[in-house]
Amino acid sequence: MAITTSRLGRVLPGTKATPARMVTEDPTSPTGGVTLTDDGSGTGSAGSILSGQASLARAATEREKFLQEQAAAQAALQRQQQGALAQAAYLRGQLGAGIPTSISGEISAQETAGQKYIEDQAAALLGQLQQRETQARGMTSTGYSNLMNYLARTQPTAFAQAQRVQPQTVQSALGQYMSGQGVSPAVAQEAANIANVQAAGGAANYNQLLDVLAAREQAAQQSRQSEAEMGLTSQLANLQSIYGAGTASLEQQRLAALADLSSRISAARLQAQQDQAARDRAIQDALAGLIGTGFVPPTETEGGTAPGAEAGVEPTPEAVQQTAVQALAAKLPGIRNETLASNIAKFVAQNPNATAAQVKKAFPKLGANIG
Amino acid sequence: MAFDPAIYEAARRSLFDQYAQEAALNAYQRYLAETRGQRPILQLEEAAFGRTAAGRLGEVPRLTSSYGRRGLQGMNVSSGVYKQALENYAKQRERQLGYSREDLAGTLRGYDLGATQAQQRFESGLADVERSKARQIAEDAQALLNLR
Repeated sequence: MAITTSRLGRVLPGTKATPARMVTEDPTSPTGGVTLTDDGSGTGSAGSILSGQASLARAATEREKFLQEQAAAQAALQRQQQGALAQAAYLRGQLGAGIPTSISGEISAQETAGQKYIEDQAAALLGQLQQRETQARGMTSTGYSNLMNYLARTQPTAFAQAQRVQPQTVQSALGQYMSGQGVSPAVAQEAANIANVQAAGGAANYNQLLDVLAAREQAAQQSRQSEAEMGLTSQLANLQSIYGAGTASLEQQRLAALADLSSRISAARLQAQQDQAARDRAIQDALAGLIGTGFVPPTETEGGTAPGAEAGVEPTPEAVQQTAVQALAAKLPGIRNETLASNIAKFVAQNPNATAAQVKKAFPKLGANIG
Repeated sequence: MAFDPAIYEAARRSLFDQYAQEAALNAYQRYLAETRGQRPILQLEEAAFGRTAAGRLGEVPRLTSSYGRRGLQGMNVSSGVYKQALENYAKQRERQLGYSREDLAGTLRGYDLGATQAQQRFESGLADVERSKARQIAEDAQALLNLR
């Protein structure tokens, strides 16, 4: 079997190192100085024997050196592969982890605190508005009640209580004397009677004027009382209107603030999701780099083929899941036994498509929880 | 404007002062008018009988003594001229007295009406002050509610 080595004598992945056929050279030998043996022994003359022994010793030394280099290369390869698998397992564990709990929790906390602040502010302002509305209603009612009480208590008295006049009737002062002189007093009394009638008419007119003015005065008083009642009703309606506009404005401000808060929280969540997507892309890029080294086999979602899956066939849930080898590789970071870790890395490298049964057979303890 | 009750107290004082001045002036003018009005009445009464030495109205009309001096009136003398003259005089006298009394009563009623109107303005002004106060309180309350 041919041996494929690198220039540094390291075994390339996918090859198997086997004991080499030893070659020695001896120009004095009839056979051209060349004796080929499988175990490094040979035959010849005494001189040639000594020379051959020296050659054999060198060959043995070279062989030992080669074997050590080969073992070191194998160990380095295993470490690289082990590290790559561990790194891939870590990255796959981080992939799709979602928004970190601390960030999503902070965003939710800010949302809750913001909502509480807005609701508290709105409630406080509404309380102040209600307090002022109550105070305003009280002031208005008191003011108009005082006015109505005053109007009821202070009825107009100017014309109502103005003294009505009585007509002054007079008798002719000369009547008795005229009778004594034999002159009839009827003519003089007639003039006195006419004057009395005129006086009575004047008094009646004046009293009637007072009555009219008193009625007008009373009507004005009733008008004032009605005005006061209407004023109270109107002012209370105005206050109610202002209060309604105030509550509507507060509600509008509250809703606007909540909408603004919601918008900012959504923006924060979107930013967190974008950050997480960018992180996933970075992880995927890193995984792609690892897969490109050949140390890490790709999963089906990463462009590999799930075990048992065929082209054009919908993969089964089992195929989509992590393969047995991947599950075995994922256990590497937790293994402290270097020999066991080396064996696992070697098995994973040599059997990337091993089934769960094969994994269980190779590693009974670790494979118990696989598949 | 904030509510300031002192403004309404000042308005109330102003109304009362104005009413007091109007009432005093009216009362004084009424007194003068009554004095002037009583004068023609008194003159008419005195013109008929004259005054005695004690200052009282006389018991015999001056008209009688005038006709007596001309022999048209006296003891056992009765003339138609005197009777006609006495009748006309008494008639004119009652008529003039009636006019004068009615004029005086009308003038005094005018002053009484003026006093009553002044009182009415005073009462109405007080009601207006109370109304303005109530409205100012209501407007202040509305302004208070608008402060938000």
